[in-house]
Parts: sequence; C-alpha cells; structure tokens
Amino acid sequence: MSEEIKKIPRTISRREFLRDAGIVVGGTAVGSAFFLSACGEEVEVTKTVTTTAPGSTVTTTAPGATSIVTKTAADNTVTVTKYTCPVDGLEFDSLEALKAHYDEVHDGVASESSDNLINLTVNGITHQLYVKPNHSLRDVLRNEFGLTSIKDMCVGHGACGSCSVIVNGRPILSCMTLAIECSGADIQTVEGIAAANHPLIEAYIKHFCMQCGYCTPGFIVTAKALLDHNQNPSEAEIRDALSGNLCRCATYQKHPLAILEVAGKL
Amino acid sequence: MTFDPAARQKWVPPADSPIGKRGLRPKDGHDKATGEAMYVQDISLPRMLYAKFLRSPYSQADIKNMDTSKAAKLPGVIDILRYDDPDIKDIKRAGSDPAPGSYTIYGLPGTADHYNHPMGVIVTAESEEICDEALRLIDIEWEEKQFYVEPEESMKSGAADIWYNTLPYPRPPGGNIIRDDQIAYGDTAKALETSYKVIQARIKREETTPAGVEPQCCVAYYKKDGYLDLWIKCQPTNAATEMAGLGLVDFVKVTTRVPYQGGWFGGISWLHWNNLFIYVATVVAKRVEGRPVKLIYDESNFYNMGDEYGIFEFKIGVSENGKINGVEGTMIGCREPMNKLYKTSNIKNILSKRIWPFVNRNNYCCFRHGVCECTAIDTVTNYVAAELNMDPTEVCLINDGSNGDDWETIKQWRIDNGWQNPEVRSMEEVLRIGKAAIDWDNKWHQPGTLKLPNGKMHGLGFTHCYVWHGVANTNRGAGLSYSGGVAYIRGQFSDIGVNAASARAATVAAESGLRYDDVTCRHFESELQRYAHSQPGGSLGTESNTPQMVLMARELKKWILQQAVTEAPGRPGAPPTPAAFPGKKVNELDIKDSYVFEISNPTNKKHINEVTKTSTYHVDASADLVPDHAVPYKYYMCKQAAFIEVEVDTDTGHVDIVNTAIVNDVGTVISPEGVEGQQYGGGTMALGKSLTEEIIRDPQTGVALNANLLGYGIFTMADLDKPIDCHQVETRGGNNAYGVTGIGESLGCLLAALTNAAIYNATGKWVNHIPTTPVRVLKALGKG
Repeated sequence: MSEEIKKIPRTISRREFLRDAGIVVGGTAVGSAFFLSACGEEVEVTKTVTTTAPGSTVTTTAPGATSIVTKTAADNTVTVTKYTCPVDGLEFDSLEALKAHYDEVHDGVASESSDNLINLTVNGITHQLYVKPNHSLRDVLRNEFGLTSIKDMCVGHGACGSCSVIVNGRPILSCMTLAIECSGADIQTVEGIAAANHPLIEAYIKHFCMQCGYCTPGFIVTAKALLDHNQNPSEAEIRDALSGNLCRCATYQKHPLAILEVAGKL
Repeated sequence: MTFDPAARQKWVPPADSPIGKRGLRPKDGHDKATGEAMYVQDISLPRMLYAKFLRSPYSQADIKNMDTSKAAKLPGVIDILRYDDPDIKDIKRAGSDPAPGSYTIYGLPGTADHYNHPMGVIVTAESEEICDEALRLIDIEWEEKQFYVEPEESMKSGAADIWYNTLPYPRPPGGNIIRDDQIAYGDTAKALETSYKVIQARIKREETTPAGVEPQCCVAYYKKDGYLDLWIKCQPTNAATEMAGLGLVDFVKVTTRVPYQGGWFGGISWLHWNNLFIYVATVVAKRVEGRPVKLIYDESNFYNMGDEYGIFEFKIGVSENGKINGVEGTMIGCREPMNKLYKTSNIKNILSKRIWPFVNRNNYCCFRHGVCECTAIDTVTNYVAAELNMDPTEVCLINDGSNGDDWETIKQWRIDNGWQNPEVRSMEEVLRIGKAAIDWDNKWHQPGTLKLPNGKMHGLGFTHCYVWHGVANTNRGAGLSYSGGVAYIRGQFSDIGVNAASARAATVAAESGLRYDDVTCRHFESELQRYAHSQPGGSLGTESNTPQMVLMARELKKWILQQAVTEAPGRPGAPPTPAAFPGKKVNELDIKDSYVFEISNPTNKKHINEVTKTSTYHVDASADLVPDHAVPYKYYMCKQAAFIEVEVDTDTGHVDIVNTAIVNDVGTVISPEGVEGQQYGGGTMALGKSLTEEIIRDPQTGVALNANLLGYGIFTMADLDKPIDCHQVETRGGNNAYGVTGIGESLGCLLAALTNAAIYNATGKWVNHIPTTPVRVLKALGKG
C-alpha cells in the first residue's frame, strides 16, 4: 500500500536564487547543524558556508528584511554562513536566530519538513498536513481530523479492530499504520460511510448490533470493506472477515444479520 | 412513606403498547452506528492537558526515594504530583463492596500493591507523549517487598504482610486475611450428618479481568471561583456528592457529565477506583486551575480483577432421591458463595463461608459479579446429579424454591398476596423451553458414553439460578418534562449499552399514551445531580427505575387529559382559548400514539400538540410519588437456565461449544432486543470465563504476562459455532413494577463454570479448574 511520499517543493533556495541571478559563487560547503527546540526536539538544519570570490557580490537576505547587498573588497573573500529552516526554507545568519524563528513559528508543530508533509483524502476531502514520523494514522485521524469514531481498545497492540479504517479500499488497523506511510491515500471512516447514507448504518441500528457502541464503528468499516469486495458474502465469509473485530459486549451474532440484509439476502 | 412491593408487582403493562414490542428503534443506535457517540476518551477541550500515572513494575514495593527533577524540566510538563504532596497524600476512600469499612484505598499511594499499580506520581503535560516521556525520566529507588499471588501462600501463618497501607493496623487476625466470616441458614452440620450421602467438591477459578474497552479516564476542568466541570467514566454518577462531603469541591459548583461509556460492565472496583479516580482527577485539575485535564489510566481494563478468583470447597448432604438436605460452601476469595443457592432453592440448611486473603493481583472489580455464587449452584447441582446418576435438570427441579421454601409454599404465598400468574412455576417453564431448545431429552446421556463419528466425545451441560433484581430503593430522583409534544425523561445515568434509554422511553410511552418516538431520554447531564437514576446503570438499574417511569408517565397523562377538557386563560385582554374537547370529562378521553381521543368516538381525536399548545409540564419522581420499598423481597421467583452442547477432543483437550441455549424469565420484557442482547452478550462473556479467560502471572515477579487482547482470550466471532439460542419467558413473577427483574448481570455469571459440567458429561471426568483450558482437560483425563 505504501506510496512514495509526494514532495511539495520548498521555497526557492538561496543557491538556486544566486545561480539564477547570475552570481558566481566561489565555493560552497554544505553541512549540518543542530539545536534543541523549545519542545525538546533535536532539530537538524542545513548549514551552508559560502566563500565568495574576490570582487563578487553577495546578497544576504533575512526574513522580512530588505535585501542587504554586501560587496566584497577587490582582493578579499567573504565567507557567509547561512542556516536554513527545515520547515519553510528561510535562511538565517546564525543558529540562534534560526532557533528563535523555529520556536516561535513552528514550536508544537515540529518536524514540519517537506518530508513530513503528506496528502490524505479523508472521506472524500483531500487535506495536506504535516505529520510526525512516529504518529500512527489513528492518532492523526483522531487528533488532527477529530474523527473520534476510531477507537483503541487494545492499547495500540493491533488486537481489537476498533481502529479499523479503509485505506485505498482495504480495511487496515490504523493504530499499526504510520500516517506518514499513507500520503496520497484515500481513507474512509465510519463518519464518511454514514455521511454517504450507506445502508449498513440503518441495518446495524435495526438489528441491534451495538451495545456499549465502542467497537461498532470498527465493525461497520470492516463490513463495508467486505461488501465493497464481495457483494454476496456467505455467513461464513462474514464471520471470517469480522473475526478480527473484538466486541466485549459480544454482539457478534447480530452482525451477519445486518450485513446479509444489506447484501440483499434477507 | 413506604409500601409493599406486591402492589407494584400487580401493575399490568398497557395493551398494544411499546412494552415488549420488537422493532423499536434504539435511542442510542444512530449515535453509536455513525461514530457520533462521544465517550470520555473522545473529549477534547481547548488547551486540554493530559495526566498519567506512574505504574508499578513490582508486585509489592515502597518508594524509598524519588527524583522528579529531570521530568519537571522536560518541555511541555506542567505539573508533577508526588504521592507525598499535601494535596493528595490524604485523598482516600473507604472500601465498600465486598467488605465494607475493612480497608482504605489511597488515591496516589507511595506503595505498590500489584504490578502495574497506578501510584507514586502523576505527570500533567501538554500531550500524552510528553507524559510518557516524563514518567520515564523519573528516578525511583524502590524497596521491593515479599509478595504473594497465590492465596494459599498469603494465608500461611507467618506470611509477610502485604497491602499493608490498605488494611488498617492492627491487622485483622490472620495478617493478610481481610475477612473470615460466614452466614448460616438452618443447621447444616446436622443436615450433613443425617444425609444419605455427603458429596465433596473442590473448584479453583483463575483470575479474570474486564478486558474492558475504554480505559479509565476522567476530564476535570477546574475554573476560577471553584467551578468544576467533570466528564466521568463511572457507573455511579455521584462523585460530586462524595467530593463535596470531603470538602474537595462546592457541590453547587460542579457539573458532572456522563458521556457514553465504553464497556465496563459494572466496574465498581472494590477499591472504588471509579469515584476515587475522579477525586484524583479533581486534585490534579485544581493544581492547574484554568485548564482542563484528562487523567488517563491506559491499561486499567486489564488491571482489575473479577471477584470470582479463588478456591471453592463444597460438602453437599443429599437424600437418595436427589433432595439436597444441606450444603456447606467455602470460598477462599472475596465472596460468600452460597447466598444465591439459598435464594433459588428450597434448601433450608446452608452454611456459606468466606476466607478472604489479599493477594498481589489486581484490584477486585465487580464486572457482572455473581460468578462465585453461580459456580456454587452449578457445582452443587451437577455433582449431586453425577453421584446419584441423575439428570441434573431433575435435581434442579427437586430442589427448586426460594429462601428455603418449596414451590408449594411459594405458590400459596403468591395466591394469598395477589401475585400475577400465581400458579405459573417459573423453573418448570424455563426447563421445558430450554430442554426443547437443545433437544435435551434425546441428547442427554450418562457421562463419558457418547463418542461421535469425528472421534470427539459428546457432552451436555446444564446450570440454573434465579434472575436477580436491582436495588429496592426506587425513588432516586428522575424527572419527566413535556413540551411541544415530546416527553423528556430527565435523570442522569451511565449508559453502558443495555439499551436502558429505550426501555425507559418504552415505559413512559406506554403509560402516557405518547408514541415511542415522542419520548426521549436525556441522561448525559443533570444539573447539580438533582436527577440521578437508580444505580447501577445496567439492566438492574433499568428495572429499579421502572416504577418511576410508570408513575411519572401516569401523571403526565393525567395532565394532558386535564388540558384537553380545560379552557385555557387567554392573554390579558384576550378571550380564553376553548378546550380541545369542550364539554367532555377526563374519563371520557384517552391517549394513544400521541393523539387524545374520545373513547366512545375514536374518530374524534386531536394531536397532543393541539391539546397542550405551548404549555409545559414537569414532574419529579419524588418520595411522595414513588415511595421506597420497605419490605424485603420475600422470594426470588423468576428463574433462568443455560444449556450447552460440547465436543471434547480427548487427544488435544480442546472443547468446541457447538450449541448454546439460554432461557430467562425476566418477569416482563420491556425491550426484547435489549433483553436478548444481555442474553447472548452476557452468555458469551460467561462462556469465555468458563473456557478461555485467564490472567497468567509470572510466579517469580507477579507480572501479568497476558494483560492485553492478544493474550487474554475473550471470545471472538469465530469462537461459537452457532449463535446462542435465546428464549425469554414472562411469568410476571418479579418483585418490581409489572413483575420485572433485571438480566444483564445474571447472564454474565450463569454460564461461567458450565464447561466443567459439560466436559464431565462428555468424558466422565471433572476438570474442576476454571477456565477449562485444553491443558487442564488433558490433565483431568490423565494425559497431562
């Protein structure tokens, strides 16, 4: 299922700007620097050291500032060090200035680098958002999209099925799936299934397939995925498909009735 | 004002009403099917913080030193609450069920009494991740102490004290034994002496856990001026009342919301974790005044223990014909095991003993408690049948009765007291239906005598009990309001999934004449907890609240009919509004499907909106309107039975449950689908307890090795070959309004030892160690 993450181009780099502006740069060394953000995150940034050839012009810009043009003396070189923000590509003259910018603008939304910018189509609407590499799809769908139907009964062990969502047509356990792997994916949750007035919703209500209701969205998602692939399932196929969804209230024997009704067998 | 419950027992549900009607749309169905249902875990408020406990890595240990400085420096950490902080160190709750007043539980102790015990410190931070990271940064010097996970070890003379900060000093006699008591009916010693035979049995039950679905959590938002908003996951909803009594809050400044609850099945921990948890959340919220806090105990659903854990020993004195003369039953565990046998039988001599030692396992938790007592009934009935070569259903019927009286005595009492259907014997009905459902008469055989063509051994299991009741006090404060053609049942209760809102609405609709769809139940909030439905919130609570619903609905009906015949005053200067039925009297009218109509001319009808116009009505379930029960229940006359059919593979020990039939006399069915849900739902849970569910601990450390849904074997959709065959009987024999009883708790207990009897019938060998796992079956067969 995983797809290559779509990369959204950052703002044009200084190197690119200088190249396009016809500035000859004498020599450039690119490395890394690190700082600790206010969130306690270690942030790696690109450090570019540029040594200009004698007589060339170096243009220095700072966020929001007017361009500063520094001319070199005829026989001197100028070394300019720049630190690039990994999120928005802005450049700074010092690591301290970059850290201050990062903490102010990006703090709490760490790792907003282009590598972590993903597209998700959730219930028919496409969104672009930054995600942390270690966040599960479940976390993102609940916390960023407010889709609280996606539950956790098993403390993220992938055992209960209550976090089930449909990704590119397949039911998956969103607690065991990294959000960052899902860029470009088409995701459906029970909210979308309900919004589309899928007959499973009414069938589940009619056949009393829920008691406490905590697991119900996960079951409906799995049932919908089954019907999308097999419009004529047998009861055995239904039980097999749903055997990964756990229900402590033990509503099990009602689910096949609802699904068979939707499949037109009842 | 008090009254005799027999008066309400005589109420008859209105004919052709929503009561007992199939196909009524569940009131909570839309919310739960669409994902709109909100649970406490789903509550997210602006600037909300998260708080998490340290959980003990040891089974019995003290914190000697704790350094939280590194955690405090972690960005995003807002507060660290240590166990020895003055804000929390005296926050405690006296334990109640099942040993009232015997122990004290601290909200944030410095001592761990079991592995994963939430204790020591609570971190409050901007996110759950930061909480988790901060907890890892806390340096603790522990002093490990002796622990015991087996009751036999804990009880030994000279055993080290455990749970020492929970049990008060001086310790009760026996050190770790918290209770050693008994209840005696009749003269059991004499009954055993004079019996034809004394049969002995010993059963061990292992530790179970709710494996509940929604972890314990609470959102507390403490604002300036002391106003507190709570969102609680808890079956009782009275935490604010308790906290006010402790001086933690001003009662009038607390708003308690009870969202949908994710599968807790009672959850009233004998440590009363529920309310104590809320106290702790309130303390945490007060410390970060002005920001809401969600306190979470992630794995709480695996770190509470069913109260059936223990060892049962029975001595059963019988006559040759299967009549049980006396039973001495002892539980080494937290319950007296025999009280339900007494309530469901004519056995006059019963000695019920309890020896309860602490062990370093989880907090006891009532999740559908009653398994102990059902284990006793199951064992006694089936052992007697086995020893006397009798059919266990015959043993059941011979000993059927209640509170030591036989059926004939009970029948006469019912006739004398005007009971509905006084001569209908519940146990006979239940057995007749259940035996037919499983084809008992054709399939039952002597133990170990039927080998199937597939090589497995066939067996049938049977057990029984009465269907027990909710609490007798019924005038907890519900209310009913009416406006614009819709009746609103006011009253907060915890919706744990028993379809309670629908049952209440059906009752109000039936008695008021409104359509079921025109009655709604608003149970998530109640101002100042003024309206709180009877607890617990399960089906027992629904049963307890039936009189309130009936009486309030009848008042509403009277009011509507009065409105129909009364001229309404006009606005100042305007003429009065004529009555909807001018010239008619109240007793000439009735209401059905939200229409007021003239009884002698039903075509003369008007919708209640036309009748009531803009008027509103409110009635409370006051003590005057709904007096308390004062008289204890005389008998328990609604019975239940369960039957299973198994195939036992004697090479592997594996047991397939191929057929299950459950029959419950619930007196009167209000919501058939709700009752059925408790039948197959509770029955499945109980079968899991009988066959697969067990927490396994490392004896070296006490660590629970399978405290997760991967390792703890709750039943899945694949575990029952066939749906459970559910039958509902209505003898109107319950003690409450309409003759109803509860059901949900009963079913979660009734079948919880049944595979033991079924395996015996299949193989001729008792396993007597529950759950009856394949290893244990093989051991019983002499193969392990």
